[in-house]
Amino acid sequence: MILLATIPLPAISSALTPQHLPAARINALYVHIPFCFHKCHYCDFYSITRQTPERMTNFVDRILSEADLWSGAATSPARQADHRHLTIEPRTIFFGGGTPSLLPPPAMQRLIQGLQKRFDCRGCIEWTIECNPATVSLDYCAMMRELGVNRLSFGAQSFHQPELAALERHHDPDDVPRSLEMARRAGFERLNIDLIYAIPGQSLESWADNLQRAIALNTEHLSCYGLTYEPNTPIAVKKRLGRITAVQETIELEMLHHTRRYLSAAGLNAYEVSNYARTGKVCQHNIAYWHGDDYIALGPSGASHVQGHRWKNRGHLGGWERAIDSQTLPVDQYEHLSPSARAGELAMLLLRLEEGLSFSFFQQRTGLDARTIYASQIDALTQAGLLNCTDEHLSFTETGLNVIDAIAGEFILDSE
Amino acid sequence: MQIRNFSIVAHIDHGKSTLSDRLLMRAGAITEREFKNQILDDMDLERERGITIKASAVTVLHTHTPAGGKPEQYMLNFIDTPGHVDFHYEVQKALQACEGAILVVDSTQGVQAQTVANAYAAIDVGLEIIPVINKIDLPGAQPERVAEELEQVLGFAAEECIFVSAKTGQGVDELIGQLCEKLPPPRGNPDAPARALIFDSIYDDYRGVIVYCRVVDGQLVKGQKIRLMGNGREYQITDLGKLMPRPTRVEQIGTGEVGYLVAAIKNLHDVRIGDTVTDALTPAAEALPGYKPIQQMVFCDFYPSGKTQYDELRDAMDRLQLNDSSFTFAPESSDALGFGVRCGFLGLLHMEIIQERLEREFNIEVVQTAPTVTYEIALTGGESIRIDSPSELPNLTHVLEIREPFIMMNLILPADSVGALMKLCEERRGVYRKTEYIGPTRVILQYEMPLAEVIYDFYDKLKSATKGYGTMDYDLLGFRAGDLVKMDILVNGDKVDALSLIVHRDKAEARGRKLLVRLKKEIDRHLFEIPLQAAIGGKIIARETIKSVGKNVTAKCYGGDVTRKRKLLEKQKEGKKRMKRIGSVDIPQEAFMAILESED
Repeated sequence: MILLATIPLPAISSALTPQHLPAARINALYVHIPFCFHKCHYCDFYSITRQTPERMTNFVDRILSEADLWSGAATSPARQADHRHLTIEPRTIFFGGGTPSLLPPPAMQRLIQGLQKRFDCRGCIEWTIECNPATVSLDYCAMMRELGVNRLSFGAQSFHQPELAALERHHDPDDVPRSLEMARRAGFERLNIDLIYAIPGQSLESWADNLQRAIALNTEHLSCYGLTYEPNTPIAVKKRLGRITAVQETIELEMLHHTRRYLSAAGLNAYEVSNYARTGKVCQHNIAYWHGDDYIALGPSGASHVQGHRWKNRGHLGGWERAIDSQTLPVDQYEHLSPSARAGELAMLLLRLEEGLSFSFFQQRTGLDARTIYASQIDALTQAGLLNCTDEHLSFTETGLNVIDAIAGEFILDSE
Repeated sequence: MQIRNFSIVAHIDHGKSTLSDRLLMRAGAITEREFKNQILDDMDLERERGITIKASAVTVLHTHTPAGGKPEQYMLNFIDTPGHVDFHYEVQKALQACEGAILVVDSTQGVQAQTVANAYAAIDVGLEIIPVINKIDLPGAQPERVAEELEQVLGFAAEECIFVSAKTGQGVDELIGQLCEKLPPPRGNPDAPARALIFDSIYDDYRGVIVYCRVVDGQLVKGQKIRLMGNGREYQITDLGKLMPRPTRVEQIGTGEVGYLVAAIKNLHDVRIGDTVTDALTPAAEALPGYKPIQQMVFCDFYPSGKTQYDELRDAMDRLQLNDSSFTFAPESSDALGFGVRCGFLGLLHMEIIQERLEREFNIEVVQTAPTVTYEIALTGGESIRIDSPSELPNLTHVLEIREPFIMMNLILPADSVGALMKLCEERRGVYRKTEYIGPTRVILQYEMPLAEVIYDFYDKLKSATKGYGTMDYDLLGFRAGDLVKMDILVNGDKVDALSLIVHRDKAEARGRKLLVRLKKEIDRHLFEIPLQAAIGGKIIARETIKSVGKNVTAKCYGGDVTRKRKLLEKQKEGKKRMKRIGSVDIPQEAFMAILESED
């Protein structure tokens, strides 16, 4: 069915080199910048809080070294010889974290320019940097905009002080409009705000008020995430100890559905479970993830995908640094998906999208007919009123959205 | 030489094995070290459970000097008996091979249900009984009181009882003396055609079936051509021997003696306990009385579970049957659980033993369905059939009546728990027979009950209601008609065969409701609502609903880390692999045990 399985692959993750990968065009680039001023209590992304300007400067050097490993591979004579062309021409770039905006201005500038020097970024249509509301200045925004960054994403999370306190977020709700204002003045036309709902103590009314305030800021994009208690985060521990109480499931679902109705009325349409955008303003970088595109990630804990090969960079800064210094890819977890596993994964991702799984797109990506391989699931789930199935698409219904993980699980399990 | 053939009978744990070994040691057959290893029980399992599953026979030569008399040689043949009610028939045959029995009672526990049952079994076959009160070395021993109980319940004179400690050896010499003096010698005609009673058989990988028998008339000789009178099969004796207690070859086994024969018999099924061995050339006119084919009364299915495959299960069952021909099995398949085997057992304990041996000796994991009893179905055409699974019940238009096995249940209880047990027996459709006091604090309670009401958890209920002091024993009375119906269970509209059961009509609704409540707990919520129904014929008599999953959506940003998201979903679904899908519902294997535990 799919030829990838025939390509010899490294047995252990640390042996992965760009040389092993099949031919691919990589159009999405992610850079993980693991520095934070303070570690928020719900966050389980990799970040560290005690960093020196020096370490951050060295960090940029190493990111660029990591980029060198890739650009070198892309142009290696061996690959050219056997026509396994590895092209890295980012259409989208995303700096996430951590708090990328914590990088000192010269370091940020060097990072952006360094990447532009190593990869052909002329076709880049979307360059996003995550910012903390309290961390950016007008000059900083202007610098980023001038260098080619065209989208900023602000982690607002909530406009209510008690809710921010529950998350251990250290910014003033008023920082958000101020920062957005600065971004606009610096020339950014695409802005996003991240919000979190189902924060302990939050009512449906309070959440509705948060949405109203967000809309008033007139951003092109909104991400609304339900608070997830990830194991071993402080907030999960507090919940276990009974110091905080999670919002009831039914209320959380009401919040989700309210968000969809309310934002849609305001011109921000849901396009994924947690993401809303004005027409034409969806985050293309995220779409690349959800369409199963190829992407590579630089920086500790970054996750990459190239033609069914998935890997994750070492999660700790020190380990990542050591790998880079020895000129090897800092790979920690590597797997090569079977064609059916890859199909299941793609179904899982596509079904979270508002437009759902397009049968023709699925066929084109996997070589498989979703209607055939998932016939029983589609049958059962449409009958149960959880999925809609048209000639072209399979997509969740209102009630299906409530259990989309379980639905996705059906596709994953049975593809093994 | 004088011959004495005897058995020891006792309630479980009253010290039968220890006393057996002590007797052997006193008579010089085994050493102190062997004594500790209890050589009569050769299966680990028996030792651990403290019960003897297979009988065997040991011969000891002993010199006894009666008071004021001359020393005389005695051949003491000790025939071991299985200690549980499930092996009633085997016990009876072993006893039939003897002239006497030692009845052992624990001096701290007193008379128990099986003490009575075993004593009656021995009396029934006309044995001379020597009552022995054991464990008199223990601090809580009350031998005099127990002797009085014996007198009251079984009519032995209290002063006849011998006080013994098998552990220390106290009283054992006196017991051996009584064996020699009190038990009658075997009677039989040495000149008549050979007749030997088969009381046990085991399978040996190298020699085939080894048959234990008691020669009643004539003798068995090496090289002799023999015939098994039950099935007419003929063999030639290649080997004769006695356990002394090590296997010792002999040239012949004479009238009244006990030993084993080997005759190149390949299949344990060809040798039936209770059958008669005779000479093939000059056969006896009549077989010894009392031969009955084995009747399995309790049935259940084993389905492979975990890593076990069906083929492995089958092979293991085949192997087990080599040395236990008293259970049956046949291939079975169920929509719910796939391929498995339907097994028949003598009783509940027998079922447990087989399941444990499967796990222990063969590393086989099984799911066991709820046990059922055999039903006798009277058909409108006048004939009657027996079924051992609710799914075999013919269409009701052809059924005249359904009959179920009834038992006579003997319970021995502390007096203060009689009320609780009467209530339990009444709930289980018991018919009261009698109450009898044995001593001031203990009571024999007798009920006629349907076997089906006993096989679930009656024993556990008995133990908890009596703080462990209550004991039970039963005898099969036969089949009786009842207002019995087949109850089907429907999950999401699909009938689940493995959950069907035959119940009394009056109890069907309550039983069905409890079962559904249990099922509801076992089956996870699905993406859709699942109705659970209990039905008799087409009529729904109870209903429950499993609500659909409310929320299962993670609205979280995982960035490009798709693997993580996928693994989370995989983990969420992990348990499903151990489930059986019926229609579109995943049912965990535990749910199939729900019928077992629905009787709260």
